[in-house]
Amino acid sequence: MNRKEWARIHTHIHTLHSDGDNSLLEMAKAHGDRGFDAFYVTDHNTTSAMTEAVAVKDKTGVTILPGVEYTTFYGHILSYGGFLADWTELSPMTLTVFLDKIKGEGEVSGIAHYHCLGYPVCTGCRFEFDGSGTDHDKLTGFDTMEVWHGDRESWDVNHHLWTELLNRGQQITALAGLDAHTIEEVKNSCFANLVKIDPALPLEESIPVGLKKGALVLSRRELLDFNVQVDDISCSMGDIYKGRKAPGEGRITINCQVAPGNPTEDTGGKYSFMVVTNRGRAKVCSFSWEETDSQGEFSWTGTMGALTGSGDKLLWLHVELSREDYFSREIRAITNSVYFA
Amino acid sequence: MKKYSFSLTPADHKTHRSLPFTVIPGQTKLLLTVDYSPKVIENRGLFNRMVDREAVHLSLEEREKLKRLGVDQSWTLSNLLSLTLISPRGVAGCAHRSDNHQIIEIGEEFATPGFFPCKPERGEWKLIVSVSSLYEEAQVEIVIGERNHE
Repeated sequence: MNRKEWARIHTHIHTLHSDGDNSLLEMAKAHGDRGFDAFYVTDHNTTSAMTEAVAVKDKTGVTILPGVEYTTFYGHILSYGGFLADWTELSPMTLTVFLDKIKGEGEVSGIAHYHCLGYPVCTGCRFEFDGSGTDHDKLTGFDTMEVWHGDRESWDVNHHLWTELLNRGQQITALAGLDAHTIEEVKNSCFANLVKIDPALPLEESIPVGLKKGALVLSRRELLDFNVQVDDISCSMGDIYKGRKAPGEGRITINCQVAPGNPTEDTGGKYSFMVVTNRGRAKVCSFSWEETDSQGEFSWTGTMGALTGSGDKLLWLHVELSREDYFSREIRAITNSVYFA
Repeated sequence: MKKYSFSLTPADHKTHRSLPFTVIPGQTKLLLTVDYSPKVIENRGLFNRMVDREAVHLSLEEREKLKRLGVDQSWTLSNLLSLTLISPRGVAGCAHRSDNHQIIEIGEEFATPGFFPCKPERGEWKLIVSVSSLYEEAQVEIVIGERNHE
């Protein structure tokens, strides 16, 4: 795995331009110190921090990408790209029109912290555009959603919703949303989004392409990728397989780099690859740090048919990496999906 | 100079109030001062009643847990108004922050964070006051002034 083909980013960061405690420059320095390549600045209902983006990148080397968090009374909606609409026009009645409008401007839309405490603790923090979970049809216009956000219970609820939307045939990209309002939150963050990029392009161009496509891994540290090969058709995260042959006749290769950039980090316990589809889950192999190569990499290849089972039409497939010891099992990374037409 | 004074009640929660004003030819800066009070409502009983009334998606057990969490973490209820400026060209910025005393300044060289620096375009503008949270009646005073070269 070539690390230059990956960018480490956060997708949900606030500054003094809304209710953050720190300036854009301070947030960028904190990201640089933690080895991040870039982040989307997503202040509440404004993109004004971007007026400082060029100068901040010059000083820190960290790329600042434009976004906004539309902070409504009924939920928070992320929008990536730099277009700014009047958020006061956004309500459950106007959601579809609003999403069409921003997507018409080339924006990538996202559900922010679906599961969260709402009013009276925090108006709008709980996502209620879908009637508090009663009408998921309202969510069909979203490109992304934050799956890793908040506490463990929220991760589980968000993950459940993500799976449900995928099962309904929606191509929706999972994100790890830090939602940082302080540099301390950046310094203490325990996850990142790893976006596949074209190293020949500037990050300002290649990261939005990867985000829009869904070529992105939610990761605590490890690089994780996979590829589905059916005859001469090769698909990776975000791709749609449209071949004539049944995908079950193909092969899947999973690659992982356990401790990219820092092999001294804790790498104990057993790692496992899990292939997840709308038909179910299958653990495909386990390995330990000692079994990785000199770069800390481990690869596994197997036949698709044995993993994807049968039954409903195969709609999507992604991969999880977990690590377990005597006491616990922890998800370390989740890829986004390959879709099957 | 234009001045708006009004009160908001909990019935205004989750509503927007649009306050129009005019930028005259030659005006080089905008200055808005926004004050509202009270900010913090020190009323634990109110918080608990709000949880019972509003957090209907939670089970009884979860609501009691939330109330205990409120005590443990010393949560307070705070009134919160968001301020969005709309110019003849569109959104000129937004202040979504907790201070109940805010000064918004917009000029060609400088703008308060949340807003875009620009020479204010002549014509009809509006300040949209969005009532994000209102737990007790609040008094609001907004002064919209012009500032030419100092």
